[in-house]
Amino acid sequence: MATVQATAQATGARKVKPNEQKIPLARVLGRWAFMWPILALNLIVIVIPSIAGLGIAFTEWSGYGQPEFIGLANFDRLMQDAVFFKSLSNNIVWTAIFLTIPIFMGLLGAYLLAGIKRGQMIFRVLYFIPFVLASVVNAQVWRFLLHHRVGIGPWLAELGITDILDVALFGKAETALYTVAFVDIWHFWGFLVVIYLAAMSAVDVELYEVARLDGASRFQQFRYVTLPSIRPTIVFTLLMILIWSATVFDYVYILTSGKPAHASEVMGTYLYETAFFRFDAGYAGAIGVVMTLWVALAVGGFVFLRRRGWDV
Amino acid sequence: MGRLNIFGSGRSQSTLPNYIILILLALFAALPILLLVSNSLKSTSEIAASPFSVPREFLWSNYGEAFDKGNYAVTIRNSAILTISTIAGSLTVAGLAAYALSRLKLKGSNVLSFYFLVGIGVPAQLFIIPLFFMWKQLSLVNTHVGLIIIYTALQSPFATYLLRSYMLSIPEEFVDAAKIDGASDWQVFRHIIAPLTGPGFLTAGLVIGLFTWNEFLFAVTFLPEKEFKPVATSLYAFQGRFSRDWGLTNAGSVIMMAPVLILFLALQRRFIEGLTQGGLKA
Amino acid sequence: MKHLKLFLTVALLLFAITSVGAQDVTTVVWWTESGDEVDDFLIPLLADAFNAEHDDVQLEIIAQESLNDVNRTALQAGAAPDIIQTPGAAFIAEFVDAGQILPMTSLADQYGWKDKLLPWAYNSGVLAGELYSIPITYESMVLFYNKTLFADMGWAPPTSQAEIDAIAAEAIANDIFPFTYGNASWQPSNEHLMGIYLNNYAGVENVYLALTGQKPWTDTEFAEAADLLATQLVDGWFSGDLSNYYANTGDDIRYELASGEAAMMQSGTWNFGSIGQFFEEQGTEWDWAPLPPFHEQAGEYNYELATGSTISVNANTENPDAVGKVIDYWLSDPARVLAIAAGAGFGEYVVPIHFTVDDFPAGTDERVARFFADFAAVTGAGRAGYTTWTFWPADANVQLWTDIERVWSGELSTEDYLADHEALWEQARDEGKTLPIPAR
Repeated sequence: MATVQATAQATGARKVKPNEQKIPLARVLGRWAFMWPILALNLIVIVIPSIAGLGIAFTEWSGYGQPEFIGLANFDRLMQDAVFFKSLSNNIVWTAIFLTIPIFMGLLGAYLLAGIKRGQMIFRVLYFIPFVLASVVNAQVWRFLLHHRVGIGPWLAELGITDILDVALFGKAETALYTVAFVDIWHFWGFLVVIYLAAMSAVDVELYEVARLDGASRFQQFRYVTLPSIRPTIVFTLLMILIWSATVFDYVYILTSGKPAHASEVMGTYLYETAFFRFDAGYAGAIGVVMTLWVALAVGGFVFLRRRGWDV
Repeated sequence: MGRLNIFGSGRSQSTLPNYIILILLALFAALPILLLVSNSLKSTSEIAASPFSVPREFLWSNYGEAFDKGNYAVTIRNSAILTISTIAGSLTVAGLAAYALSRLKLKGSNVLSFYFLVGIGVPAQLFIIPLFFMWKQLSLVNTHVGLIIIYTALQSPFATYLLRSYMLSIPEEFVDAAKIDGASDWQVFRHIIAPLTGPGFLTAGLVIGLFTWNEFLFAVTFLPEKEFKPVATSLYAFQGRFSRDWGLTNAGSVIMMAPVLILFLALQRRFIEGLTQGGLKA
Repeated sequence: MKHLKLFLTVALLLFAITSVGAQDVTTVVWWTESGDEVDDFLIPLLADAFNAEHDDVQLEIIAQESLNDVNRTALQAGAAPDIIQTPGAAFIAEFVDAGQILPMTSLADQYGWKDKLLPWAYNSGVLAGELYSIPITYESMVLFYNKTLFADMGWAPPTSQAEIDAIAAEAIANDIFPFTYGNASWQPSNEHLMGIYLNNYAGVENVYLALTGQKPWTDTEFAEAADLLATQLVDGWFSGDLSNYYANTGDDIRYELASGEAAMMQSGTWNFGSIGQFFEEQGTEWDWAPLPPFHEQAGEYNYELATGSTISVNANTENPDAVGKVIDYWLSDPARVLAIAAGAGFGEYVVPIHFTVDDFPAGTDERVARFFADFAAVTGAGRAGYTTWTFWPADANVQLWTDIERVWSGELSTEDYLADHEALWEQARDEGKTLPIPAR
């Protein structure tokens, strides 16, 4: 295996460029020119309005009239809000689920697909369709499939398998959040297959040949060739999942709206309820700030790892 | 090698287990979709009564009715404009930035990474009102251009990081060879990095396209005039205040999905060609 | 870049061309919530008809998806339309607070809207003596039942809690749910039931006293009303199990009623339009009856008053007079109102004006016409109840339908729930956030 690892690293790792001496100023400025378009767009569309928007969190505001500055009062309130902490912990559970199950399914699907000749295209399309469809439609399909009266459950119950799926999974406090997560995973994992497959396709085929010559098993090839080679892409998806898990909203909102009794509440739905029904835009802004902080922490960790020399 | 096949000729390693697992995964993904298509040919009350049966009679009229009611002729055109422009804009902007972040030693690129990614995580509710205010001052509300700029800004950080991860996988030797020949940064990007990142660009384009096609919140806010509305609003035409016509909704969502699927198939074909033509066999 | 410039130039030219020639005609813009009835009925029967009869004013109705989010943003930036539609009374209070709504009192006086609208509906738009909004739909709560099933079982629509109990016992013995309901499509559906139990158990007089601050919500009548509902839900009277209630969509409950899996449904008159197709599919018949009093203290049966969406005049409009013309055109023609309402299945655009039997379009369902006649008679006699989404201030209203789930799950006692509720009412009174309550 040693040869394989060495080869993988020789081609895969490209950390420090040798002999990079002083670069002329003109060239440095020229390099920055590659960044100007994205910086300008970001500044105008996201940064400036967000700074204006973040201010809302420090006000008492109905969302319509004049905001009134109240300092950190909204954050004090957050610290004592049991529903908020319930939402936050649900977001954490959600993140843990999404960092594992869909990643595993995505890697499995992509790796197996990369290994077949016939039918690769059709599988890829089938896996990807759920990601293409509108959330409101996907939600309805699963509502039927998991329905306590007409779904798979009653059908299984007729076969004698009871008390698993023949109950209202979306309506029970113990199962609601996990059931929504399941539907969202069904919709999401095919996307990871496509991303990973594209990354795997860029892996040097010779590495596999060397590995096979070394007598590597299929799993060893995956472990020592595929995984290290697509590591930047895996880290990228982990990071995206961390970010998206902070802002998750639509499947939860459509399927349970946080019911029953906040058992499946997440920060996104709680923010929406606060702003939309309670006319408490200032407090909603404070929840939004926590969501942004979460993202900042996740990204900060990522940048920290990179500083430590991780090539991610 | 017509297809990517990392398991070699298959003499020593059978692909049969692959197919078994892949088929199981395909059933998991596709059976609910089959249900959707079947239910797109029923009336709402038949769906409620027997969601899993074969349609009593195939209501093909759902499709025509959904197409008219959802105003798809207009919304598909609008979404096509938005989607194609956003893909082009984002890939250009993100491609340049990804190159700079992955290949050019920029001071402060860590800070930039941080800044962009945090930007992705800011909930839209926090900045949509100030943004709308600015767009109104700039007369960009109710214009496709205005929304395309927003979409490009929202999508390019994600695309940048996706492309960056692909660009990092390109062996250094390719670039070094060109540099020895005296190529400028731009030439290296244009002639070496960008072509070799083909699959990455296609994947990023697909993701951006899909986001744009399905995007709802910014679209309804920034395009309140009827003639500009995108395809994501069409599904709302089947929604009453207290009930939804699920037959039409299902048919409408199949209509909405079709162009994306076609785009996907087209891109994937190129993607495979790109693989076989790429310089990665070196 | 070249293409972008070209594109911008063309866009500017197009813009210039389309904005010429729009002189001397005032256009009134109204954004309404999107829905299938807008294109089919509201626009042809109201906007097109109005425009055909007027040269100086033109009405443009645009359906917006997720209207409230769009409105909020547009109002902030001063880009909202002339007519502002809200989902209900609580929203209007916020808009008025923010100075974004023009009082319509002088328009109302000029056109005599006070006589055209039902008195309680007119008063629901009055804040601090000024008219700020007009409801464009009203509704009430009734008891729907499966008429075929009732005939088979030899039941008559219940007129008291004792009769409900008798039907429920027999139904459960026959594997039939006494009631069906669910909140999967719309979580605030919890408040439909809470409102019904408050009005019909504690009685409308007691609710009125509590609404006007003369009686606390912690009193036993209200606690018993909440407990009655909680017990029934937990015991599975509604669709068999509380978890089913949480998982049931609007389609599910109409199906359960139509198929005879459930006997009755306590719900709103907005179901008139959509319930029929489920019964047709099942080959059964539906009917409705007034909700009976659940306790002697509630007196005779009543109808709850409820307004749905409202319309108001944007404070920034340049043409309040033109807006007045549009609104008056609508309010002045009962037959037109009912034709639009019928198109929307009497679930939307039932403007609360005075109707006579002749105003109903030919072929109106007898059951629907019967409701409007009885509603007018009963509420005219003062037996009117109060829906939570029309008469409760926002915070207390949201607490009412969110925290009740914690009562049902056993996390919160009824006493604590009502104490929290009372506290939010006191807070609303202190802040002047209460909504107009029509005098009895």
